[in-house]
Amino acid sequence: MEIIRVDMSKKEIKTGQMPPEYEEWGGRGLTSLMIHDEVNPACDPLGPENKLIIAPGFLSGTGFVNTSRVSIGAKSPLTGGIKESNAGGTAGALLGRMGIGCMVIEGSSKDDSLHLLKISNTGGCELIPADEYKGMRTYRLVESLHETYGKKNTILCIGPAGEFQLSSASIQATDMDGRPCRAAGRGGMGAVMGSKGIKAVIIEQGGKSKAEFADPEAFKTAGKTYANITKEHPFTGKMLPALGTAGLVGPVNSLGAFPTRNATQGTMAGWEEISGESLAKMISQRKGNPTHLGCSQCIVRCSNEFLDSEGQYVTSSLEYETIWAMGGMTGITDLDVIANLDFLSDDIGLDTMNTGVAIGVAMDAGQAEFGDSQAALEMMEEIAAGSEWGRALGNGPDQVGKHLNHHRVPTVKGQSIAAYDPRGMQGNAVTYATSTMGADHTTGNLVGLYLGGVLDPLGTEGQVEASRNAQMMMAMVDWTGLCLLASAPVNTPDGKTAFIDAVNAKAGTKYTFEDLMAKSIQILKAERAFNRSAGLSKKDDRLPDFFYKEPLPPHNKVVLLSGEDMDRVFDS
Amino acid sequence: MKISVTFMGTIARDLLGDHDPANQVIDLPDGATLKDLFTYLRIPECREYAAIVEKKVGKPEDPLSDGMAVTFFQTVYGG
Ligand code: SF4
Repeated sequence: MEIIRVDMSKKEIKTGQMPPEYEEWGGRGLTSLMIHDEVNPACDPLGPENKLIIAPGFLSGTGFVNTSRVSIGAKSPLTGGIKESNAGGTAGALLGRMGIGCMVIEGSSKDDSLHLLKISNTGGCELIPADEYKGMRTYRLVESLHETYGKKNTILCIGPAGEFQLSSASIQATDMDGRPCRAAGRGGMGAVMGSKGIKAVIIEQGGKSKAEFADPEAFKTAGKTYANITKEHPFTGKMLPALGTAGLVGPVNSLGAFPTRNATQGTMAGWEEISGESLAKMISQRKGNPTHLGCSQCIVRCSNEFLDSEGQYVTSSLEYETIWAMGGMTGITDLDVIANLDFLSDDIGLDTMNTGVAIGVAMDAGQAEFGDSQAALEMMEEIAAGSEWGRALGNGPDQVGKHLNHHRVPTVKGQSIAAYDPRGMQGNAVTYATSTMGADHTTGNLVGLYLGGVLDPLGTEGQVEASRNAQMMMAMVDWTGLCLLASAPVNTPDGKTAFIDAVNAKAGTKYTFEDLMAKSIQILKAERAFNRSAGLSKKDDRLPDFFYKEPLPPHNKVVLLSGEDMDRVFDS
Repeated sequence: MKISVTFMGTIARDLLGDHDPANQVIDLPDGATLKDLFTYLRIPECREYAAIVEKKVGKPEDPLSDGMAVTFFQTVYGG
């Protein structure tokens, strides 16, 4: 595997072989271990000492289904700790196919000039001055880059939010149709890219290196088995292709754990209007695509293409977390408005979740009525304009809370919670509090255990252990590049075996599941060590006070797990 | 007793075949449990399907009562 190092202070690019200690890693494993080893934890996240690391998963670029994730890591300007945020689309698979293990972007421009980083299909890399793209939103930018550099190229880019170095700035990734609608949204990775002076990374299609498999036949067999299980599984083979992730609105709301109107309620009046069932029906009626191929290698197709009432493209893909943040938290039940807010987030280059929650906090603090669509759309434009208020919004819920002196701010380590209220799903409280990434559902979501009847979401028993296991499991998924949504089959005995067999067949190892978990622990330990050195301590592994003081209807529960419970996650 | 059932996701399409996929009222003998309802509807009683009653995931042994509303969901693993 190749490593590309880009020094933005010297405008120098060096390529070389991946050091042996990183050869068996990819995705989050690689980004987190390298950040731990190379980045000064005390550094300014937006300064030259920070490094932005872009790494396809260990299995990305192979024929294994749904492994097109690309991990993007750095010290986060949002959490002050380590961050990995991964995106779908085509970048992960393409980089993997080209034999590129990672790109490390370090240093920073001495002026405020912008550059493009272009990776050609023959492996050459160059920095191209890009000041003409300053301030450009992502859809126009990608259109323009496709015209200049080739229509089929994969692009990772930032919008105005990244250029302003806002803490909610995302890195947008192009999907299978070349639209910048997939995102590494969380933790302000777009701000770090902006601080390096990189407007976009262009990866030319067509590059291919000789695939390296220790046992190609065993890999093929494992891949086939995993694909078959994925197709048959009720979640990945039936629900997701039909409703997408929006299919979660119904079950989570029905459990009373759908944080609504800035987490003051656990169920939403009018939830049916924003449910996956309604979304799929609306998309089909408008002749959009409810089962869209968003990412390379995907056989699940959770993606969708949302059209307006005139049949014009609005956005892709309208996802559960966005519907919740832009709808549930703001009290907006109009899918057309939510789709527009999603498009604006992608176009300005913003994390839909942190931004939706910031708007929800602003509404709760009296800046607008809940449900005021116009106000929400105007807040998005404030962010794009870079006004003082817009910058507070774009820096996320904590900044909005401070700006408006409002106490109810649902974040941990500065990052907003996701679409599962910790009072209605007690184990998710543990994950939000203790994740190395801030409140992050993708690091250990227990919703499947609750719906499967394995664990009581409102009790305390087993939550710490379940969160710990889920956090280890997700670290494993994240280093391989497997899409989180397609990881449900790993919970089945045959799916788990096929997954482990694939890793072993590629690496030439004989790992057991326990060995892979040990590798996950290595990742988590490196992340926690970095966070400790960056100044985050046990007191940062806590939920905001209001989750302990304000009972959430309809169950009228508060978070029941104490600080000591949270500390047990990683202390044992 | 009469139980009102709702099917979400793709349950109706995938599993119910001869049942009307719309919300419906089902007649079950007194003393029936949630397990009986699963059996009647031929929905597999496993981790992948959840029956939610009064904002909680029901257990197979939970008794049903007249007028109860049960919503069936596929288990989801995250978004
Ligand atoms: S399931 Fe969805 S997010 Fe995952 S690879 Fe497929 S389209 Fe992308």
